[in-house]
Amino acid sequence: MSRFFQNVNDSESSDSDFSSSSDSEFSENELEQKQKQTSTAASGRFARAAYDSDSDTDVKRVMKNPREKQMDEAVKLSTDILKAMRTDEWQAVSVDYEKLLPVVKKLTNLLKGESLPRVFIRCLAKLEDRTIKDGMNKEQLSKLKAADARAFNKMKQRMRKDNKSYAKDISAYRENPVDSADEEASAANAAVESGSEDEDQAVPSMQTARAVPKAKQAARDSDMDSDDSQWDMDDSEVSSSESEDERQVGFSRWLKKAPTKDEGSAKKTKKDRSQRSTPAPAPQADADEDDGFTTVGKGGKVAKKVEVTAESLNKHLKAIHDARGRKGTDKKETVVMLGSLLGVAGNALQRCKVLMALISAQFDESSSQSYMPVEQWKRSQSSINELLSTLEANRQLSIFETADAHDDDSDVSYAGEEATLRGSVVSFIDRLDDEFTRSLQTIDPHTPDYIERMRDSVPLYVTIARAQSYFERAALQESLCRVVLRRIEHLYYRTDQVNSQVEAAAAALETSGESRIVSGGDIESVVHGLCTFLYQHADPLLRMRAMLMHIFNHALHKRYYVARDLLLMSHIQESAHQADVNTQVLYNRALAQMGLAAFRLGLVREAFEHTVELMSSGHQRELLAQGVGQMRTQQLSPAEEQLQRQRQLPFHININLELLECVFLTASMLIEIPFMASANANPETRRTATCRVFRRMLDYNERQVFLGPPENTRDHIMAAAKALADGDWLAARDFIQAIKIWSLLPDCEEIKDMLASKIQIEALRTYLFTYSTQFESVGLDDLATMFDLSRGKVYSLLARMVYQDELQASLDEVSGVLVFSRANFEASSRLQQTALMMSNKVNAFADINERMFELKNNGGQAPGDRQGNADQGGRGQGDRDSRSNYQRGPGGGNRDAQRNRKDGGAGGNRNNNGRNTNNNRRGGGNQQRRGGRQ
Amino acid sequence: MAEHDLTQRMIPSLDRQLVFPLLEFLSSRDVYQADAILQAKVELLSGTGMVDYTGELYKQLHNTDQLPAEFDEKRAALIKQLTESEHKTKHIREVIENPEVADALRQDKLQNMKLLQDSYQCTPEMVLELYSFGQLQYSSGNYGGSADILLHFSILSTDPELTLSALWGKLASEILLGNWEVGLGDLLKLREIIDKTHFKTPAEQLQQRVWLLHWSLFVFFNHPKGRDGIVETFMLPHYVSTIQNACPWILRYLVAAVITNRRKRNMMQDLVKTIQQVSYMYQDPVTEFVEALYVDFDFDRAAAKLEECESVLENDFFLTHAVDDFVENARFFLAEVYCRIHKRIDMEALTTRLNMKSEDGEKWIVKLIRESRMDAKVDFKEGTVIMNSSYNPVYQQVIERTRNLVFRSQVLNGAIDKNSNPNKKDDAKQKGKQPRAAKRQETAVAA
Repeated sequence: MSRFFQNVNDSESSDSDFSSSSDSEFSENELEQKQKQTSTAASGRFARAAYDSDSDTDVKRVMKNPREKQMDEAVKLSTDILKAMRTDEWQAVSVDYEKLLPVVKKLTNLLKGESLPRVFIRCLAKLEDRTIKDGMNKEQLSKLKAADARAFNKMKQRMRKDNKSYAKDISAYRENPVDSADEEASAANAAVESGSEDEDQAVPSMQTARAVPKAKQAARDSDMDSDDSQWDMDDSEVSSSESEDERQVGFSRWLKKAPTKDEGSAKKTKKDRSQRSTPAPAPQADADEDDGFTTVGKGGKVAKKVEVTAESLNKHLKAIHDARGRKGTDKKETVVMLGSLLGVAGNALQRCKVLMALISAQFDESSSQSYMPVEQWKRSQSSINELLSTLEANRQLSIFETADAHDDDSDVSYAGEEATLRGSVVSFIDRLDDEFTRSLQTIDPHTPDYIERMRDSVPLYVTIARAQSYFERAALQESLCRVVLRRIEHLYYRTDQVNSQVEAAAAALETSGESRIVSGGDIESVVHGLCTFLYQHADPLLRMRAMLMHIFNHALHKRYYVARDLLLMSHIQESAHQADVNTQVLYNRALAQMGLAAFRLGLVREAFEHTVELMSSGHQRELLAQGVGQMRTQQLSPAEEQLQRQRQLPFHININLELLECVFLTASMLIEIPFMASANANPETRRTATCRVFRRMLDYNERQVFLGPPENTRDHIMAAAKALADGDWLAARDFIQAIKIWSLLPDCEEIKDMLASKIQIEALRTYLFTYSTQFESVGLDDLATMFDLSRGKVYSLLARMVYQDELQASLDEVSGVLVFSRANFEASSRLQQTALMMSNKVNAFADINERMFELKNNGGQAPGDRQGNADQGGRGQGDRDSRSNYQRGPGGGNRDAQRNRKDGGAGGNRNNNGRNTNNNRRGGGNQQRRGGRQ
Repeated sequence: MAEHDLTQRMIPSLDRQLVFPLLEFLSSRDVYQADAILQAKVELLSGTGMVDYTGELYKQLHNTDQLPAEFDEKRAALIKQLTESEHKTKHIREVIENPEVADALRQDKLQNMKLLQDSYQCTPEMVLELYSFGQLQYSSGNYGGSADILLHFSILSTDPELTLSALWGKLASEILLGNWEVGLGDLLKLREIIDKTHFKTPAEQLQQRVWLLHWSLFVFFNHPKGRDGIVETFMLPHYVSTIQNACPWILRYLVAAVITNRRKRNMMQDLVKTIQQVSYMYQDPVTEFVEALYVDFDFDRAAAKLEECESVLENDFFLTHAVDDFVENARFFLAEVYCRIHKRIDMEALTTRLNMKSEDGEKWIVKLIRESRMDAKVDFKEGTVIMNSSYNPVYQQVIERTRNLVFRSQVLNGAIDKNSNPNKKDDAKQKGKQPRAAKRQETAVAA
């Protein structure tokens, strides 16, 4: 097929590929400008005539039959729309479109089954392209005026709806869009209404042109392009004749499905395009026209049946190498060439050389696309595999970046001695893997395509494993580390069951995969082996990534403690915020997964601590790179947005956000509800909510006037929370257990049971907090039956509450009751409670005054002072302060540490400097968020 | 009882010579088979310079009078080395022992070295030789000599790494000599060095700390004030994390130290948290006792664990002397928690929980009430103890809280008056007044 033809087709089809579409658009613009220019240029000559003819046509139009009239109207409106669209005046587009629709409707009736004017169809197609396919990114949209932007969105919706009825026509148009430009030109001319009637000479030539096969035509177009004088001479004639022709022929040409060709005006476009996209091919195309459009080489180099021999192979390779990346190099051609070279390559050394060039060329081929087409990807993969097997078979060969380039011809006589080649196998692997990820990012995860694509992950994994064993043998440490990391990346997010399947499949495919690092065994030890290898040998960044993935993997398999210790011992929290965004994302993922793991073990507090930072940020999607958030995109520049899109993780790697939220909210509920109850009962404890997100949701839920039965996860949890607050543990349990998403966790039933018992306990606590003022004493047995707990359990719960001063009560062992102390009763008077609170506040007030005074006196060094003050005072203020400080941002990190120490780091944090999780994690997390937004 | 024996876990973190007392102790108990221990001893000592003793043990183990030839060779080589080394270091030792020199030495090590070189012809090599001589002495069991020499070395040496190991050697010598006072000093010095030195990798530092934790057990459990020291050292954040990371079994000793040391009672809360955190990887009756008492408030289980503790402690080299002390104090803790939670206690139940006869129990409880000045009374007829909870009435609370406000406001006011800037004065004065007003209101309410 003609390269030139292909090119034209490409640029005109103008969908999918943004660059080419903009290209064509641009040329159209240019065309229009030229048109205007010529018309003004011509005005000297035709000013009079144009004026005359205007009046002429006016008279004529009266005579038109209704069909023509409608047709005219439709054409006019369509062109208006197109023009307006080009200049982004969407309001005008919208208005015209509204007008156009009834006209077209009438016209359809009049035409009686004949197809609609192409201009109209084209207009629809363009509109569709512009609105739906291309869309507009946020930035472009924001550049528009508000009204235009609204109109644009409206149009977009309309197009979706309306275009269905014209789908056939549009698709027909899309198949043959070649003539679009000329029609546009003609339409533009028609709009200008420059019609002189007596210049019909062009018509016959047009008619013949129509009959010419497309490819030839293209050639001929370019042929004609070469002489500009022709164009200069009769452009106005041709164009006006065009418009004339429309009327005179009675629109018969609209009816033709075959590509119409109006060379007069089209050639200009063609020329523009050909100049733009292929700099020099025109004469070449001309020359080659006769031999039936066989292969046309790049930049004048024709791919004749090259006689390549092993001897001349180097020369060819060099030529290809030199041409690489140059403008006008046909990438496809290069690949074909290299393919044929590969057939000739006589020995392993040559094979390797050719293969490396081939792989690069194959990757080059798709560089402009959003992702590599699957077929191409598979070809690349098989090439890489071939390279690897060549290397496996010829152990004396090695490829690394710093090797000498083998450009001399000596390799013809190569006979198996030691040899080195310059190149980087690991970069091929990287690229292959990246392309795979990119394709998964782009493919809609809910289609079979995605699953189809996922299947390739096993061969890819095998390739990576093979590369690993190659690097091990070749002792390329750096490459080895990178490829090992790739391998872990393919393993870490999957459970062992899945992984063992993959490994089994891989083992079936693998030809030779001996490795020092991992020696078979179960998957856990494989991951462990790989990670340990990286800990020992890799540079800090890779090590950190490996560590995070290892943590993720441990957490995924419910080895929470191991994951936690790894996280704490590695001190990753301190350095995570300095890492690149992808690593930060990984860090967030590891934390989230740890939260899930803790929850599965029933460690509610820990689960909460691990997820709270993430979940209360409101940017879970960005932080986990699982989609672009809605609110923030407004502020992002397109480049940033693009970057963020590139970071997205493929769907199958994602952590289920809904599950995460469910876990987080359930944990919050179990912590927050008893806490709220105790805060209500005892005004002296601090009232700041530990979990604001949950509190906000609950408040919102309570404000609702009408509440239906719970539908989604959140509703269920809110309903359960309310039931729990009332001490109705059965209802709370049922609500929580009714949540469907638990089934996503592997040990769903266990978790439900665990939750049920947690709810019992927390319900008991809530009940006691809430009603402690109403009782003088409560029987242990009664409580036990009420909450369906064993007496021993109730006893130990009560004992703990009493011991920790949560309840002002004590147990009477003899009669088996909990006796609330009298102080508690007295405190229950409203006035007294208020008085106590008042005294607290006055104290706080005095504190603040003193601090303020010190601040004024001591000037700058106040913070340290305050710190000391809050600490030494310990009037219950320190806590609150540091808390609010933390909310203010990372500046409060120091105080946060303080709080930790005081709180005793309840939960998963070991409260000491060395492993101060909470603090560090928070610090890291704060940074995190910033990183995520970058 | 072998499952609760920590010797095997601790050996990697101890010196060969230090392990020996542990093995000796084990052989006096019936935890392991005697042969196995003997075998272990031989293997242990074969790496040291105590050839003669090893030989004896070897004979005992194999029931022979014949020693393999290697023993003689080794012995000869060792003696040769010793004499050589002694000879080489003779000069410098003499120099150092000279009181004039001792007076002339200053803080600055480089300066000292120079002094020695200039006026006494001591080369750095000689100092190094001192180190190896000390090592040899230690290896062959002459701990007194090694302690001396290593001390000199650590004063003179300019190499921080060697100084550190010399200090380790000295500590070991002192431990084996039983000089607990000096040992404690060395220990603290070592701790300081380890905390201050910047090690190449965190792992190295961790390793040093692990050693320190293990070695210090010898000192702390033998020194009269050691139980304070152990709690202070081990509860330092660095050491808590070391325990958590590398050697959770040390917790047993920490718990024992806290329990037997009533003054450190307030450490319990922190300790409980640490125990909870490592409970997934280390548990023994001692930690379980604490967990049962402070986490689950399950007194029956705590009592049962306490009984187990007794036998565990008896078989522990470090804690064997402290068994009675431990049990007594553990009971005290148990009773304390129990009394704090309960309003009315059945004496019978409590005494059974404390593993005592009812009569002893009664006495014990009364003693407890008297000693800890709890507000409690015994109802003899009912056989119960009634705890009088002393909650402050609200009035009292309000008064207490607002009591110092006047004083504080006055101080503030005075401070403001002193302040020369009139702007600030007005500003703060106004604020100063408010609390007082509020306070007045407060007391009115309370009244």
